[in-house]
Amino acid sequence: MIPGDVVYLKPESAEEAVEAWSLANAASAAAGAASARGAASPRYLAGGTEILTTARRSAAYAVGALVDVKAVPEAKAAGALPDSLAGAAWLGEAAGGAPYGADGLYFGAALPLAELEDGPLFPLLSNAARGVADRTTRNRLSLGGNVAGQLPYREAVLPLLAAGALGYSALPGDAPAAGGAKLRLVRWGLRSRFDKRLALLPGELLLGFWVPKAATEARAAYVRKTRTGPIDYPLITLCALRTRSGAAWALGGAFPYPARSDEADGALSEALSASGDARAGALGRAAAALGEPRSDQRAGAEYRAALIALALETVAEELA
Amino acid sequence: MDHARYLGGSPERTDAPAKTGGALRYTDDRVRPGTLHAALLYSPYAHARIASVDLSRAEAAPGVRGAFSGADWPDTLIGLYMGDKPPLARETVRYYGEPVAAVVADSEAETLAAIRLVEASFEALPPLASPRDSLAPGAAVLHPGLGSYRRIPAILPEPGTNVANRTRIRKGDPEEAFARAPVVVSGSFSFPPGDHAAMEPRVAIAEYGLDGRLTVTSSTQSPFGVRTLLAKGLGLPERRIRVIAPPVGGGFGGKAGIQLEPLACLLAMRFPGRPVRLANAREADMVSSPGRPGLESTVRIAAERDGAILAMDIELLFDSGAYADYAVNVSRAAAVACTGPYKVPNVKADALCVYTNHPFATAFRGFGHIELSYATERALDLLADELGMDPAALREKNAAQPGHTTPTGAVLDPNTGDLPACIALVKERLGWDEGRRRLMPDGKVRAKGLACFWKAPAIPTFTDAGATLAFAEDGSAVLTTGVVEIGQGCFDGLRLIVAEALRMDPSMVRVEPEADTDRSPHDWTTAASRSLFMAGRAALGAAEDAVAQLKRVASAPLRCPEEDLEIGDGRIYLRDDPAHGLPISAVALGYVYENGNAIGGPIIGRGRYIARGLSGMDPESGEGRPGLEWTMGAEGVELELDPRDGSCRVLRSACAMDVGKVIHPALARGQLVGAMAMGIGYATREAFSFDSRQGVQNASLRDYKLLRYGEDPEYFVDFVETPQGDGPYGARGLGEQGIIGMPGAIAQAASLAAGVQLCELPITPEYLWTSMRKERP
Ligand SMILES: Cc1cc2nc3c(=O)[nH]c(=O)nc-3n(C[C@H](O)[C@H](O)[C@H](O)COP(=O)(O)OP(=O)(O)OC[C@H]3O[C@@H](n4cnc5c(N)ncnc54)[C@H](O)[C@@H]3O)c2cc1C
Repeated sequence: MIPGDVVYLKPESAEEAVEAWSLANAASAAAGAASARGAASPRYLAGGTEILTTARRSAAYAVGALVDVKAVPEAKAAGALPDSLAGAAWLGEAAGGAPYGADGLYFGAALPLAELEDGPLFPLLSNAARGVADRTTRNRLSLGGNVAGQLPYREAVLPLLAAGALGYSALPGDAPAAGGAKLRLVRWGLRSRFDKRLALLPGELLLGFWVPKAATEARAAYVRKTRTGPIDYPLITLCALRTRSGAAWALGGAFPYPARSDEADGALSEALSASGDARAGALGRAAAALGEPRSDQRAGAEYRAALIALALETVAEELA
Repeated sequence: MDHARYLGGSPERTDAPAKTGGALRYTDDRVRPGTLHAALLYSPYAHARIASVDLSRAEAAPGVRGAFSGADWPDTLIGLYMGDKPPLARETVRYYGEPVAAVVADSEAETLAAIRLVEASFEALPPLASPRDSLAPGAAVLHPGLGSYRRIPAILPEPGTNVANRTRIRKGDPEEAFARAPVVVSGSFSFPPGDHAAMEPRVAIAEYGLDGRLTVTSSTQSPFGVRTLLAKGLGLPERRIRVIAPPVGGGFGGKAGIQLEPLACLLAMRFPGRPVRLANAREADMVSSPGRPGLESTVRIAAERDGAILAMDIELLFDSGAYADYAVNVSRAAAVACTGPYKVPNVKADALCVYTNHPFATAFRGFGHIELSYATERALDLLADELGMDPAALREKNAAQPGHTTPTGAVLDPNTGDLPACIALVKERLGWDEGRRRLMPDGKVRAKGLACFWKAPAIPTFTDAGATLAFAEDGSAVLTTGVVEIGQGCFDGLRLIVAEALRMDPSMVRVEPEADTDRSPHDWTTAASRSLFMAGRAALGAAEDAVAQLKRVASAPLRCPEEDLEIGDGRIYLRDDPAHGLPISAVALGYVYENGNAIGGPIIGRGRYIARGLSGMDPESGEGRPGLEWTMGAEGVELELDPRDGSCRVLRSACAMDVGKVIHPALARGQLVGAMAMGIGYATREAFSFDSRQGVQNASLRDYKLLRYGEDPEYFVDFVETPQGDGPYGARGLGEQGIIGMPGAIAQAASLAAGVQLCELPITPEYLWTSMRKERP
C-alpha cells in the first residue's frame, strides 16, 4: 500500500497528457511552497511496477499525481509510425539518426514487454523483452517504463541502442497560457541523448521508438546471464546487431547503467573480420572500451568480466 | 487387521478447490470492521545504540491512536525456550530489521503514513558477522543479561559469552579412536542464514476483550505454543488467552514459534475492545521476523582403510542472529543427530547456538538436520576421496541399522527404517553404476551425487496430541484436532486414517480445518513432521472410542452382545449376519425406537497420544533418548555443469525414504518433491547476502531467489515401508526429511563435476567458476 493520497489522471491524447502533467506540476509546486516537505512532482505512469514498489518502500519517493500514459494512442502504437508523429521536429541539434522517411518500425512506449516478446517485428527486441522478469510481470512492464526507469538494467533499451533508434516524445508547450502550443512533438537520436540514462526533460512524455528496417532485419545476437535461475536481474545482457560497417552492440547489467560506445562497436566490428589472436585482441578491446564491470551482491567484477568475454566470443561467432 | 481399504488411495485434497480458486480465508482475510492497524519502524542498523526515538510527530498524525517504543514495555521479555527478546528494541538494536517503534492508527494507510514520521537516531556499533566472530576473545557480548533470562532446563547458555546454547555429545572414546585410526580427514563448511520465504507473510490480529480475555488470530503453526508463551511473556494465565489458527499459507517452521503475537497483544491491551492487526510486508517478513540459521562447522572423521567409521569430531556453530528463538533447540537437535545416519561408535560433538548481529533464526524444515547433514556429508565425501571409495558405497558400509546406537547412546529399535534399501533405490534411479561423471560432447560435465539423512522429531518428552470424533445426522464423522493446516495436507492423511478405522468412505469424513485453543483438543505444535503420526494416533484412538460407543448403543435395538457387532460402509451390523444391522446415522446421535423412546445421545469419540519413553539428555555427555522415531532415507541428483562459466543445473533428483507406511501416496509424494525443490533452492541460491555493516542486501523477492517452476529437475520418489510399530497403521513422519540430504548431494555432484571440493553454500555459478579457477588457474 502507498500511504497518502494520489491523484490519478488518465488522458487520452498526448496533448491531454502533457497538459495534465503541467497542471499537476503547477498544483504540486504551489502546495510544495506551502509545506516544509517540498513538492511531489507528478509522474507518468505506465505499468506502474516501479512506481508502486518504490513508493511502498521508500518515504523519499514521493508520489503526488500519476498521469497514466496507457491510453495515449502514440504510446500504444506498433508497426508503422503514427501519422501524428510525421511532423515531429528534431530536438536540439539534429545529431545523427536515420533521416526521416527511411523505412522503419515504430514501438510505442506503453507497449507491455509481453507484447514485444510475442511480436515478430524486431527479434532482438523480442529477446531482450523476454529476458526481463517473468511473463506475469512482463504483462505489465512497459517499454517506456523500462527505458525511463531507475533500475540499472533497462534491458529493453539495449536493442534500441544497438539499432541506433530514434525516440519520439511530447514536451509541454512553451506558453500554452498565452495561447501558444500546448505541446511540442519531437524526435531525437537515442544514442546521442543516452549517456548512462535517457535524461528526459521535465514533463517530457516518451511516446515511442523508431527503428530502421535494416536493423530489425539484421543478423542479431543476444546473451543474458544471471546469478542462478533465469528469472533474475542480469549479471550481463549483451545485444548485438550486424551492421553495414560491422557490428553494433550494447551491454547491460555489467555497469550501473546500459552502456555502448563507438569504440566498442569498432572493436567488435574488427573482431568479426579477424581470426585467432587478432580476433581475441579485438574482442578484448571491445570489452575494455566499456570499462571495468561492477561488483555487487549478485556477482564480482572478475566474474562479470569473464562472462562478458565469453559472451563476446559467442556474439562474434554468431555475427561473423 | 484386514486389508486396507482406503489407505494408499489418493483422493483429492479437500481444500484444493478453495485454495486454487483463491477462496480460502487465511488470517489476513479475517479483518473485521473497526480493526486498528499497527505498523513498525525497523532498525536500519545491524548493531547500534538507540540514541533517541521521537514519537511526537507520529502521534499527532491523522488517525493515530498511539505510538510506542521499547520504553513502553521496559521489563517485558519474549522468547521461546529462552526469554531474551524485548517486544520493541530497548537501548540497543541487535539486527537489521529489528522493530524499534510501533504506531497504531484507524486505517492501514494512516498507520503507514505515521510510521514514517517517527524519528529515531542511532549510534552505530561494530556488528558481529559470524559465529566465529562472536566467539572470538574480546567480542562484544550481545546479551549481558543472558544469565538471568527465563529458560527451559534443556537449554544451556553460557553467560558472559555469545553462546545461547551448547549441547555436548561424548560417546565412546573418540580421542583414542582418532589416535589409532589409519585415516583421518577434516574439513570446514559454512553457509549464511536465509529465509523461509513462505507464501503468506506473518500476521497477527489481537483483541483484548472487555472481559479481560485476549483473543489472537494468527498465521501460526502452534496455537497452543503461542498460548503458553503469551501466558509466560505477558504474565496472563492461559485461561485468559485464546489463539485461533486459520489455515496457514506455508510455514516451513517459520511460524512454529511465537512471532508477531506478543507485540500485537501488547498493543491490543492498550485499546481494549478493538482488534489490532499487525501484519508483515514481505520485506519485513524476510528480515524482521526470523529466518533460518546459518552455519560454520568443522568435522573430523577417523576411519579404517576399508571405510568403516571409527569416530567423528564435530563442531557445529549455528548462527542464531540476534535472538535465541527456536535456534537454541535447533542446535540441540543437530547434536542429537550429529553423525548422520551412520554407525559411529565414538563421537565428540559440540553444537553451539551463537548470537550474532544477523536477523534471528528459528525453526526451518529439517530443524538443524540440513545443517549437520551438509557438514557430515561433505566430510564423508572427503573421506571417500581420501580412500578412493565410491561415496555411495561408503555410506552403505556405515549405514545405521537396528541395534546400533545414536550419538546420544539411544538404541535404534526394530522400527528403524531400511537405509541400505533406500540407497539402492536412489542408485538405481540415477543409474549410479553406469558412472558418476561424464564429459558431454558440448564441453559440459554431468555428475551425480548421493547423500543420506535421518531425522527424529526434536520435541519435548511429553509432546502430545488430542482428537475428538463426532457425527452428523447423515452419519458422517468430523474429526477435531489441534493440528494446523500449513499446506502440508495433513488433514487428508488424517481423513484416510479415520476412514480406514471406521471402514467408512473418506467422503463421509471431514477434518475441522481450523485450530482454536478454546475448542480444539490440545496439540503440541504442527511441526517436527509429527502431526500425521501423533494426531493420527489420537484420531485412531478417537475412532476406536467412537466405535465402541456406537456398538454399545446399537447393541440394544439389535439385541445382541456388543462384541458381535462390526462397523463398515456406514453401517453397524452383525459380524456373522451382515444384513442385520443399522445405518450409523440411526445410532450416532442416539437411537430412536418406533414409539419415540430414545437412547444413547451424541457419540463423541476421544483419542489422545503422548510421546513414549523419551528422556532428556545428560548435560555433559548428551546421553538420553530425545528422539521418538527416526525417518531415514537417501537422495541423489544428477547435474550438469558448464565449466566455462560455472552455470549448473540439476537434471534429475531422486529420493527414497522409509516412511513405514504410505497413507496418502499423492500427498506423500508432494511432500518429498516439494522438499527436494526447496533443497535445490537452499543449495544453489537461497541465502541472505550482507553488506559490510551486516545489513541484508537481498531482503525482497526481487533479489532473494527461489527455485521457480520450469527450473525443476525430473523427480523420482520411492518409498520403503518398514512399519513403525507404534505409528498409525505403521506410518512415521515424512514432512521435512526430503530436504535434508539435498545440499550434501548437490555439493557432492557439483564438486565431482568441478573437480574441486566445495565447502560453502549456496553453490552459485560464480562460486563454482571461482573455485575451479583457484584449483587450476
Ligand atoms: C519483478 C520485476 C522484475 C524485473 N526484472 C527486470 C529485469 O530483469 N531487467 C530489467 O531491465 N528490468 C527489470 N525490471 C524493471 C522494470 O523493467 C522497470 O521497473 C520498469 O520501469 C517497469 O516498467 P513500468 O511500465 O511498470 O514502469 P512504471 O512504474 O510505470 O514507470 C517507471 C518510471 O518510468 C517513467 N515512465 C513510464 N512511462 C513513461 C513515459 N511514457 N514517458 C515518460 N516517463 C515514463 C515513470 O514516470 C517512472 O518514473 C523488473 C521489474 C519487476 C517488477
